[in-house]
Amino acid sequence: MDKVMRMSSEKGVVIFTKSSCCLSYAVQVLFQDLGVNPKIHEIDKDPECREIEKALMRLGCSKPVPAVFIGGKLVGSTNEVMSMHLSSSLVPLVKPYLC
Amino acid sequence: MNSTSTHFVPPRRVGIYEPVHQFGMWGESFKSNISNGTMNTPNHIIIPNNQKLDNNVSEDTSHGTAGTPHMFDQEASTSRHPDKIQRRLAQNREAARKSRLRKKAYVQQLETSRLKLIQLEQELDRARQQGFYVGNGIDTNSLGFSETMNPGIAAFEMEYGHWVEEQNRQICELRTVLHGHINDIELRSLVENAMKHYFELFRMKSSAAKADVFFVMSGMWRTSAERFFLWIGGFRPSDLLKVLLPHFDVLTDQQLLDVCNLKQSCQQAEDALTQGMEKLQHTLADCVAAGQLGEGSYIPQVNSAMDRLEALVSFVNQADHLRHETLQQMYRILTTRQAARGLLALGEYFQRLRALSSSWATRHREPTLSIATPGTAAIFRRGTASATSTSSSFHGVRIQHQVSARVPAAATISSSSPKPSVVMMSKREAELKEIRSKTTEQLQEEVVDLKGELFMLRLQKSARNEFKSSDFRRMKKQVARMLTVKREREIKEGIKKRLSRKLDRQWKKSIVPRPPPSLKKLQEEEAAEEAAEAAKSA
Repeated sequence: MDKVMRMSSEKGVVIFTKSSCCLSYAVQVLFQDLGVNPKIHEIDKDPECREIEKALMRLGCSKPVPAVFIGGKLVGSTNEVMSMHLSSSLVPLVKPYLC
Repeated sequence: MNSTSTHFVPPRRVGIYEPVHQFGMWGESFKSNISNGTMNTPNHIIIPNNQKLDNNVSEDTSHGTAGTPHMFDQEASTSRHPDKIQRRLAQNREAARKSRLRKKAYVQQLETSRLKLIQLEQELDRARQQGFYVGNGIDTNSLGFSETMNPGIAAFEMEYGHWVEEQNRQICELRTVLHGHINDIELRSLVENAMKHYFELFRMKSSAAKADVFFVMSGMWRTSAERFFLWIGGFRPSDLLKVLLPHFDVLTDQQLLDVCNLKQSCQQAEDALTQGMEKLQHTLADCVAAGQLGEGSYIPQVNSAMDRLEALVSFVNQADHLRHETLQQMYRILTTRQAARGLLALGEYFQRLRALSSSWATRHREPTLSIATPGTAAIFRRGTASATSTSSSFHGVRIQHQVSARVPAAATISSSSPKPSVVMMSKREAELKEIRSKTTEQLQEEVVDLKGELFMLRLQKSARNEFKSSDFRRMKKQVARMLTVKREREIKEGIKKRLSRKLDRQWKKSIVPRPPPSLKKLQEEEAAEEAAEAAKSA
């Protein structure tokens, strides 16, 4: 759990993905389109994969991946990201982290 | 039986002595043929022998009888060949009997088919209740029964059919409402209903995706034109915006800004999902293609591919979520009236796509229709004209109706076609064209001439000369056509019925009877003959 919190505060935009999950890839691409360079954690490469998954689920994601953290705070999964983006609330959120 | 021949006396007293001797022969032949309906008058009996009757006797009997059907007058000539009559009547009997047998067989066939149909319908109902796969004919390209019977998919297809019907109804309502006046509250509720309707579709799709994601991805539950634009199991959200935006003329600056942002973010999200899908395809392909060559068993590859395919469901759900959100945002940005117009535009767009699918599917049917009917190009036009109507679910039926009414339809439609490039025109159309090209005065003259010709025909008929009986009908109808065109022109000018009748009466009073062209020709010919003879003898 702490590991998750630690990892999510490493950088402005952190995305937890799995290398096999293509939806996470889509989210990645979206952020890259916005001009952000998110930090990608492929949790299936991590030895503590199961715990991270459990922690993410406990934090409130129905699916462990993709999980997006912006500024240390959990934004959600793809659904939330898309909704926020279409309602133009995603861009201001990531503005400080543009590169 | 014998008495019947007494009734057959020719009306013309003149020819009484001629056919008298034929009565006897008549009597014999008619004895066998005259059936029920005739009366028995025992007083007037002609002995049915082949002998010649006394003129006196026949005179008595002929004077004594009442009026007779004069049609047997014409039979007089044929009674010289009783065998022929007999043979003909016998053949007639045979033909009648055969026809009766055929009819019986046909009716029996119909009955059995009907029974079979009832059985099939019962089976179908039973199967439907058990949730088997039932094809829903949205367009003429509909699926029949699928090989796999998936109850979730069957239910989805049926639900989608209802969804489309409800959609059409809502669009009609929106259309009428926007043409008229409606207060904002009612409009808002209409708009919200329409939005809910779309959201309902997304919900249906998500449960269908759980049942069979490939089916939803294939778009087979949609019409062919819609399938052409398919993106992850539905329409592209960016297309949605493209369809809506031209219909909003006046947008506030804030709205413009919001719309711009929405457009951009929608496009970005769409692209992200597209790339995600591509990655999925790559990984799946790699998965399936992995392993040594010629291993024989491919179970490991299939298994790993199966795991990956689970992701497809989430992609479909995400795509629908995107569509949902786009619609939601548009609703938020626009005013109620603008939203109503937007929804109408969107609904009509899909209706048109469905109509396009229908008419594309039936475009090859037209050449077969044109074999039986004249104007071929007209039929093509008729087909497309009928297909661009809104009610897409009835397309198949509509074309069938037109097939049965093809002859009059072809004549009317092709004659009203504005393009003169169709060289092939039927005789009737050519006639009509000619009639329309004449002026009203010319038409009047023509009518007078035709009536004169009709008069000549009647003369011919009464004089028992040779005449074509089809000429009567033809000429009367031509007169009718000309008068119709004349009245059409009057209507265009705005002359109402009363005034038109007055003018008609005036015209009729004013016409001077004159010999019709046919008579004139005869007279000319006679004059020419006489002149030739005079010249010869002189």
